[in-house]
Amino acid sequence: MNDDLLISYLAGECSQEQEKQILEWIREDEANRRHLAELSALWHAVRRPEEGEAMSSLLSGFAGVDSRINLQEARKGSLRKWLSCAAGIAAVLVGGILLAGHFLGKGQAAPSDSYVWFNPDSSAMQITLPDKSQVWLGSNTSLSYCSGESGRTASLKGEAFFDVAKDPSKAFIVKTSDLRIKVYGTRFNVRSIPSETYSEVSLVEGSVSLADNSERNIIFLTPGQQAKYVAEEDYLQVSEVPADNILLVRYGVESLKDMTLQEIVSALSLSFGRELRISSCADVNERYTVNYPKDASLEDVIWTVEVLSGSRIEIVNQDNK
Amino acid sequence: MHTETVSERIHNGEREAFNELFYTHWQSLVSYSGLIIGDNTDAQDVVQTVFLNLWTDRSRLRPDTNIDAWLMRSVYNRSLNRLRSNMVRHRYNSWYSAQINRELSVCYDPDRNDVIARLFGEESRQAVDEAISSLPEKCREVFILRYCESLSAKETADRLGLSVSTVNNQVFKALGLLREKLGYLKAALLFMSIYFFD
Repeated sequence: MNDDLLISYLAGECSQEQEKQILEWIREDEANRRHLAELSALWHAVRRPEEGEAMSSLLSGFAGVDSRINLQEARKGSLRKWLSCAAGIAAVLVGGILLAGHFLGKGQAAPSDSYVWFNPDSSAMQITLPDKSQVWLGSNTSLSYCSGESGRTASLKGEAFFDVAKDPSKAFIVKTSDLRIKVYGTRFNVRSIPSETYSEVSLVEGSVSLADNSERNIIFLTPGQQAKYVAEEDYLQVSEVPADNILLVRYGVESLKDMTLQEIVSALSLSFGRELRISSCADVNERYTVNYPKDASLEDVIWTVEVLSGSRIEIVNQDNK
Repeated sequence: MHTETVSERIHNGEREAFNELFYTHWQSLVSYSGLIIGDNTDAQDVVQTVFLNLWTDRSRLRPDTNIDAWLMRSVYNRSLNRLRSNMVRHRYNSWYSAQINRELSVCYDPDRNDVIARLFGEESRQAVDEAISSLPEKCREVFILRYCESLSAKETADRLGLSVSTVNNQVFKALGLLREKLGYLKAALLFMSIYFFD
């Protein structure tokens, strides 16, 4: 391990393979971890935003705090007015105003409405869209997303798997060079690679409609169907291809969707060949979705599940080290 | 003339003292939170919430409360919480860099690691700037381009007419010197007493 690789990591220039190497390296030895921690701390401490950016960050940060304090103070002011009224009515209203005054709310300025991602790695990259949809980008793939009155639009070049958050009021449209794919909440894969003559759409769950560039409808797909489309020849081929394991096969991601904690633990037990025990569980009936890279360690996946569910899970029958 | 401590003034509801605290600490606390979380937008949100709570709970401040330490600890705790929920959503990071952040986060505890307190505490900005400007000239030039302005090793090499390996050597040298210089500060720091809220 050399410092140059570590600095590349800090600069965001590492591939996922290299990040994996670094993760293993810091776990080998406490001294390694402290070394990277120190480099990282120094990195963040010396990097100063440009003068203008620093100023605007300070001003908007301060504006956020200032306005919320003023809001709190104003509400306390009206609280005093109410207290001077008849005691019975005031008692009921005090409760309501106190609650309102302590609700801090989240965020300050609205986030910008359009986003772009690019995955240059040979391994998949997972992203979460602002509407909570999950997308995995294949190698050499770019995706842009924006959300507006007419719906949510994602433009794709390459291959990606979508797990779209349900929103009946806002259609989700994926645009590629040849197709418009419209969905409302569903799981599907889209492949539109410039060097390939055909586009391919595979549906796992839900339903999608495909249209061409001039918005002319081509077909509706049902789960388990895969469409291959060649725009120049207006050629469409639909076949029954079970797509349930596309996430695993093409993206190296294991996906446990909508499972209770017990179901998740059983699946992990089976996959990793280790016995697991739930030592505490917040809610037996709650369902969760867990996605992890197939070469992740069991300990890391368990940690993710514990954080997600507020439970504690033990690995039983550990080998002696 | 103010003979009261900052803590006392804020306790008494002086917005001016609070605002000034905000202005002087905002940047370094946002950097600190960004270090832990790995995301600057979230970091800004965290630091805002910390200051808001400071103001809301100001009646619990004592005249001898160490505000600096309180702020850092608060930012640390909140950032850790934020890190955990970010982790699960895998927002911008890859799975591996999310795990790396998680492993490194324990090293950033301000109460257990005084390098952190020095790098992000009140005196830090000046100390760090001074340490950088005291580096030997060539070393400093390389370091600023590569580390502070985030040029790639190649870009830095091209800009200064050096080889990439020279660039890397100068960066290592700078890091070594900076660690020494900022370590020296340790001897000069007075004992910081830390008071906890009830």
